[in-house]
Amino acid sequence: MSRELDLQPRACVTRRHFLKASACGIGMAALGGLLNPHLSAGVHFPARAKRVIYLFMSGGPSHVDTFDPKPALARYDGQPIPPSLVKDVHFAMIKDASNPLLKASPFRFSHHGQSGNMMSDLFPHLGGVADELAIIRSMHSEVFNHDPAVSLLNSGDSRVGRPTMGAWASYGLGSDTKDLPAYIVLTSGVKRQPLLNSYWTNGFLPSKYQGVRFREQGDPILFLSNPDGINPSERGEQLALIRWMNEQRFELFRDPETLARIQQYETAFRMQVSAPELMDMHDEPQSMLDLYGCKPGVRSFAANCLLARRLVERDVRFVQLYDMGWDSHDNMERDHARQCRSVDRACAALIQDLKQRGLLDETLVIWGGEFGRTPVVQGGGKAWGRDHHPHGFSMWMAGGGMKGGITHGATDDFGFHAVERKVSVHDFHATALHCLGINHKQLTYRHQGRDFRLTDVAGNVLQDLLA
Amino acid sequence: MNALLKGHLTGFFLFPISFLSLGADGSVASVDFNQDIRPILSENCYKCHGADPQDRKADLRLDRPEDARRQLKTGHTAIVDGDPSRSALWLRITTEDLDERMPPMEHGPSLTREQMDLLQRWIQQGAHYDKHWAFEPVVKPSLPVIKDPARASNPIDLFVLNRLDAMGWANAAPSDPNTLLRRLSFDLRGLPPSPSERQSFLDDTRPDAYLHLVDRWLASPRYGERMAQHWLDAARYADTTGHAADAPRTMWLYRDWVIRALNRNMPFDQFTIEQIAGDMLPGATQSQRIATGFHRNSMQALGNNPRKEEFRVKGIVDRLDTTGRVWMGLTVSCAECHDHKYDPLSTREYYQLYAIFNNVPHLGEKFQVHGPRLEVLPPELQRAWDQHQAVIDAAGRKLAGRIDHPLARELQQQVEDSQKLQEALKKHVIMAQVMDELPVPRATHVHLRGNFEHKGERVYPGTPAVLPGFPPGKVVNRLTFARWLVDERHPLTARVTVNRLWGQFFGMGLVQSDGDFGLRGSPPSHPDLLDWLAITFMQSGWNYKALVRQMVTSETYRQSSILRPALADMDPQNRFLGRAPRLRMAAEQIRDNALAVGGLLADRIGGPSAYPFQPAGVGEFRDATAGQWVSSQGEGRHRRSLYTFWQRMSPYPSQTIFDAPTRERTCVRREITNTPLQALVLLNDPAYHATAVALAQRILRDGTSFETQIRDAFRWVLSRLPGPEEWAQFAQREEHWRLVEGKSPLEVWTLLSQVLLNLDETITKE
Repeated sequence: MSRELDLQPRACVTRRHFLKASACGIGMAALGGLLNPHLSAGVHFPARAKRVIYLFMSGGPSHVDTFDPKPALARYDGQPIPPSLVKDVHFAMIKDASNPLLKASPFRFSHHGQSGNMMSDLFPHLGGVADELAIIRSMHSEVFNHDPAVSLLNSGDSRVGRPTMGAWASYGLGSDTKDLPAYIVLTSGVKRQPLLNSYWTNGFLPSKYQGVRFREQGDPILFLSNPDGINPSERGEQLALIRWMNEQRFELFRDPETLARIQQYETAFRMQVSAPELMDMHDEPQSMLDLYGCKPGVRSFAANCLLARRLVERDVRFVQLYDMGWDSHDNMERDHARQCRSVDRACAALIQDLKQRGLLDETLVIWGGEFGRTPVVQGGGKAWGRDHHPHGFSMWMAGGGMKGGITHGATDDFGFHAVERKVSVHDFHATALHCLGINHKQLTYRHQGRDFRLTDVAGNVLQDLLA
Repeated sequence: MNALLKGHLTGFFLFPISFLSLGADGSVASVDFNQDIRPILSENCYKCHGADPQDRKADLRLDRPEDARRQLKTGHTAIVDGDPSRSALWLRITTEDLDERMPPMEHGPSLTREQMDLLQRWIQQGAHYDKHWAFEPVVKPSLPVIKDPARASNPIDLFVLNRLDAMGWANAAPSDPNTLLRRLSFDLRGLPPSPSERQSFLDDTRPDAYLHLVDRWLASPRYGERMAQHWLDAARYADTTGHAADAPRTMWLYRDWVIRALNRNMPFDQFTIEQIAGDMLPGATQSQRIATGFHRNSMQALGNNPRKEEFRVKGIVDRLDTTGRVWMGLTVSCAECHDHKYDPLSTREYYQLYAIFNNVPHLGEKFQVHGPRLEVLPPELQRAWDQHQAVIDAAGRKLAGRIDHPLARELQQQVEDSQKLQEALKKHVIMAQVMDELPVPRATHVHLRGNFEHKGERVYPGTPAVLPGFPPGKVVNRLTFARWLVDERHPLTARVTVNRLWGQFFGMGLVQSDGDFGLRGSPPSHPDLLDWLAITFMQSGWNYKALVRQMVTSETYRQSSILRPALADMDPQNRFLGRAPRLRMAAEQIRDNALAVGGLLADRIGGPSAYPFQPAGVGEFRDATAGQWVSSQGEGRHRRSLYTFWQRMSPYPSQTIFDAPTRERTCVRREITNTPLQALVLLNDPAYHATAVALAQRILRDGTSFETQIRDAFRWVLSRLPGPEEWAQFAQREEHWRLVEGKSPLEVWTLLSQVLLNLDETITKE
């Protein structure tokens, strides 16, 4: 493990100190405490997961059509929802909020695996790994616009701009890879809502903890390729001269930042080699591409899942995939079927693949959107849809210390409010950090006079879900 | 035995008197509440025993002397004057019984022996509370006397050297002139010194050559651009609305107002009043209205949003947060939902401040979601408009009452022509975002738990009790509030302002937490210097340039930034200023420098923002409302980075990678990081590569031999000449690429220029 990316060289001034610090080996995450004056986290207890893959369904997948079957919706299809359930409830788009009508799911639900975990027939492949999933049916929040809701799920605060989960994880645990960023974001899908840079922001944490989005066109990392006309050998010679000059400067000024800069130039050079290797899937057998359902050279959610596996193999700490196109205000039946088709096989493949490589135990996989969708209908006719719904929705987690084959919590009969064993976003965060071996109350950063946490002042670890 | 004393090892913690810190005369050193005690209490106790009733445990408050001495329901008393052994506070922090021990384990570690010792002595000495230093009036301190006054060139040095002397540490030798020249140039102009500027400085033998240089650069129009860069971070200036829509809007008139005000050295009190309440000044000018764009920089959601009121409220919250941090160094927004846990600011007081900002017309039919706007002609067109108006007015005067004027027809024609031309100009009108005030103020209520839909008590405009009040009898509104901020009795504004400026030049404020002068902020490293600067600043009539001049002409500023390992070990953060800081430059300076040394930098000041080159696809997932980034052709590619179109949700990548903020919220201090992505920008960004090509062309144009070329290259990029070893290294590389690889001179010098532009030295203020 390398601490080079995380060095706070101000803490160690002489070259000898610096070299000693950078030579510190594996398992030295707690060293962060020595190097980073703000850092009060180390590994607080044995980590179950070393890494996270977070599959973010941007736009909000409908819980009542995927993981939360509601027979009552079929029974009362087309009838008004009981007024007591919608008292003081705002909708994002449904104009007449006084008398919304219930809408049955057009999809059939069935039990899967030994656990009998339920999901709709939109997920035929995922059913095959049902025993690996811990399904939460009782997620809830109050935030029903996209960007504040994504912010809440990512950063624990609906106000855009706080540090996100991946930033907290790489701040707390440092980086295990020398050649790649610790926090990588991959994107796919049908554009409907914008994806904002703030979704992977470092917030007030130092910017080295920012997520790096792999681009869909051109270099995966911005400015990765040499400019036209500069070949690798010339680049190597340039870097040697830069290094020599920087070493001279260090001899004069004795500033450890200069040594850190020398290291960063070397890391950058290694990234230039390792990122294209990573992106080049030619070493994956056809059977693997088939398992995920991806085609060579075509970026898709499936290809991103395979890439995510390659990233965690290379010890990247936090990989977040955004799949766009889940915001089915209309044409719900058609669009949700399309979305689920495009993620079902790949999600299942990812879990299987991680498992057969022995990586699932140490990789926490998370699936979910920024909210669910209303059990009441938006619009009508064939093009009916569902509106944003934060009051009760579903997510699932797998691997990385989670118990498989369980369903946690429940919404009411109509899938409107989370009612049993409710899980707040802070609880979800506390649990994910726990899997990484971090006590969420102790992962703090002092900013403008206050200690901030991912979980703000709340959050309980969901012990029931832990293996 | 008292249950509290169970397991308490009295003898162990009651230190014999000889163990205590002794004063110079051998007496027990007296404990200073602000310096010694308050940090312990606020860090470890106030969260549960502070001002916020919601979180208070055991009904105990330790932040107020009378409450701390009150007997609790349990019969215990936290503080008994002079007697630690009867004070529950001291017993509970020292008890061996871990269940009883404060602070509770899950809240944090036990206090250290030193902290216990301080609290013990404080109670023994009568447990005096003092007001937090930052809320005390600013009092002019006397100048310290130092051993060798010749080492000081102005009072700043007296304060700094006094502290260093007391530690027995020496300050650094003066900087080498090349380094100093470069430092000053980047600090005052944000640009490198040109080789000819360097030469004339080196040739200037006057003893006050440096002062002349400072004055010349303070008068340069580049000064305003450079200083605006910091202020625009604080003002969260951006060219888009933020949030998902992130729509473009015209804010640059405000940005140009800031540059102009700084260049003209507008007094800081006026600078404050015009930005916060320029629209409310009697007979407000167009310029004063544009200044109020400061508070229209808040993010704004677009009109189709169903929660318009929520976003209006968010706008006010942002204005308070910004005003609090920028002028008062207070984290007022902590009190939005609950009484501030650490600072004396109740939720009620927060909403009194809120009431002051609650009267901007907004969301009404006339304003839609945008709020008030002002029609403005760009300056050059305004001049044309004024000329036409002069013609119209003159003709009107001549014609007045004389229909039989011999030239009546001609004059009438002139008027009509001018009016037509004015009509044509109207097409170019820009809508500036400005503040305005409702004639009848909105009613303001406390928002319970910060939720605007849950209204509590009605409140009226007012300021926190801990700060001086408004002059009696005055209407309290935005204008009186702005004047109150710069009232000389206000203990915070001048301190916060000089501190922020200090941070610009010395890398870190005297108060390290620039945006937090509250109880949890860091205490000043040099309290007397801070107050001396604050008083001097106010007494100079809030003269900004004079303050800058004061700082950059001190010996403290002019000393070398070379780290001395022994001192660096003792003072790793350089809080004592035993050397100048050595810091990576801001994003804007790094790019502007590359453009300048390549001879590409465009000169124009102000105007609409520019779209320099960025790779395709950077903003590919933005909303349709956000518009496309179409890279500028010509001048727009090479304008100063200050003018780069600031897209909050997809900021210009090479600037964010070098830590430029998104400006979603106010930012009074940028982080400085050191990452591999920064190396990739400087090595590979086509825009940077283009500057290396331009520099190579410049070098080849001016010099025909390697000897002149390498000298020129070093002079342009590093403001110095190459040393012999450097010479040899570059010569060897040049020869190899030219002779072995067969590269053209332009190719060779492009490669070498890239090397120079990537050096730690190049991107560091040394």
